Amino acid sequence: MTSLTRRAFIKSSVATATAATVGFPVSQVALAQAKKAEAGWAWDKAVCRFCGTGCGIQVATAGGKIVATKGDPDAPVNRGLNCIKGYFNGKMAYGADRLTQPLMRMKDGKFDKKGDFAPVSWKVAMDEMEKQFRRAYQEKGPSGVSIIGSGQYTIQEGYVAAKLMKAGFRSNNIDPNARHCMASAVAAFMQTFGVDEPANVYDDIELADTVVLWGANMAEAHPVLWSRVTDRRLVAKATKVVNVTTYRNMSSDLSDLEIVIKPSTDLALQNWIAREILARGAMNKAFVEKHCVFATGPTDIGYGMRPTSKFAYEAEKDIQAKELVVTLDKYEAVGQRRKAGEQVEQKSRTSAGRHWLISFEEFKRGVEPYTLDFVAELCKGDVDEPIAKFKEKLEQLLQLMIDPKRNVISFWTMGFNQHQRGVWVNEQCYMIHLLLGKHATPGNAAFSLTGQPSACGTAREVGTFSHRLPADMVVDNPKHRELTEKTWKLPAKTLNPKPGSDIMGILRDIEDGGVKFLWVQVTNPSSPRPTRTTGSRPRARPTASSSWPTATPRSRARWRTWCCPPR
Amino acid sequence: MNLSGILVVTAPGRFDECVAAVAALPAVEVFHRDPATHRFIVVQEADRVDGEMAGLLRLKAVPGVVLAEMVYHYFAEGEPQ
Ligand code: SF4
Repeated sequence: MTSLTRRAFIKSSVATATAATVGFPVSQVALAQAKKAEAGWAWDKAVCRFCGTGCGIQVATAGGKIVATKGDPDAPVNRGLNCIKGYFNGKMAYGADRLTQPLMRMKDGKFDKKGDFAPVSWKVAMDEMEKQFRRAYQEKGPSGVSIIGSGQYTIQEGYVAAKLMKAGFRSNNIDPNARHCMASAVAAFMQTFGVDEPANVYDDIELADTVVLWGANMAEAHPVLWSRVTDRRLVAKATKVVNVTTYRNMSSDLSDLEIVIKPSTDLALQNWIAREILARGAMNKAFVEKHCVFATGPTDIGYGMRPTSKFAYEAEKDIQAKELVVTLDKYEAVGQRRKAGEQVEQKSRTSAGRHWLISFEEFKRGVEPYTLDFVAELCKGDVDEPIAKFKEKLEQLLQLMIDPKRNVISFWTMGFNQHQRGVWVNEQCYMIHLLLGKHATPGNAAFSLTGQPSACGTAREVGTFSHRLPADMVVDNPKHRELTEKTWKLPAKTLNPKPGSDIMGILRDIEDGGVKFLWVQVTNPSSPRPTRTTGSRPRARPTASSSWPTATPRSRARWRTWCCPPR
Repeated sequence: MNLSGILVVTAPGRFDECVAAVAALPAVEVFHRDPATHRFIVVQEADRVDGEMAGLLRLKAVPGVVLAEMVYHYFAEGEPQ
């Protein structure tokens, strides 16, 4: 076969295999030809570990090398599709810049934080790590050492890391990057339901009549799940998709309704929906009476800051000062029943999770100020859009949600979770769905999507958080410690009862000198944070386990690193 | 040789327009079409990783395309990057 005809042959085989994978009707002749192109390959099943969707993939090997990958048509989540990250699962194993041996900062043949990375043996790397760990542990004890872990750990890796720190070193200073993305989702789960898990499954997508995206650009960020929304929208003609967003994005292309709002005004929009549910008699009274109570909490909660400004940067001090006392604008004043311009001391900064029961009448009074006029003026995000048109859209959204004949799914991710008021906005979405009785039933869900492959399994369930123990237990509960001590065969009362520093706390502790040893595992904390200043003046010996030369080991902190073997 | 087998889904009523626009792109070939479900399959060829990614983004940017996702990745011949 000439190279041109071979190329054409392989291309058409790839096309056939692709078509068959996603369920196109393909002739037996074409399938036989595709098989010919794959002669000598062995196909095995695997799972993509790049995100929380959990797609199944198939990997072809020949001569000990990966030669092709494809989505697994039998995988219930992705049904043959891969997003761009999953697509590169095979090829990434051969990346030219992949780390294959330990690298250590060296100068004149010795470890030096100011040196450049040089390859060293595993023994040299491990010995240096042990030396630095011992020094920190002797000086500071359990609170002076730390691990920043990851929702990308496998469950086994996370369990071992948690056990090493909590049982081995009696330190709770282990916390995963998952705190960044899911902390507000978790707090809202716990406050609303008392358990930290979503109540629905992806198969609800195929039963939904209304899909509302709340600040989630699923078309780009959750493309595999979006393909299922797309299928549902195109196959079931009555299904409508609403994109509530702060800017036009790719998810709008499929959406029936695009509602562009100003950032953070979704809280007011949700309050309007709640108000209208009550005003129009759309509340599912039987469901609410059986399953719900009404509650509220403080509004003067400020923002999480260092307890001291001794080590703070100028910009941080400026924010601290502004957030201790907030001057209300005219909209906040309406919500809080105060006057615009009033200064409100943020007294509940350390008790933001406090909440108490209220009556239905109090709840009703609480949402009463959120009229359509008030909310439309506050929320409208496209300056060129006429206010009447915007109001019309809000009314359409409301109808698509409250119609008792429609199943409704709300999807969200970081647009809510990394919101200025992430817990509230999560809780308020549950509020809407619970008022309507449209939650945790087939096709009805207030659905918090997750980003990482093992944020639930590893980070939450096996205890890699600073406040947790395995099996969803917590360090400050004596019964939980007792059970864990028995399971781990530890002497009684040896587990540390005090929650350790969370991930941001660890990074601040490094700067402030409280933590002297940090082991970064399977994550890259220097890259995703809004300001990458942390670590630029460390008083610690950071170490990173990574398969790639990421920003963390390269950061100007001159962090020391070595790699882990390919996996 | 880097070949990507890609599923493309179009908005209702824009199938033909999208197939034509995608077929006109360099290094892309349209193979299987299913107008009833607004889906078609293309194979894209690229030399390097960045070409594969840019190629997919280019498909997603075609007006009327609501979804373009990778399914099959063939890199058996030539040096993988
Ligand atoms: S959606 Fe997530 S699990 Fe699926 S292929 Fe993409 S990165 Fe992998």
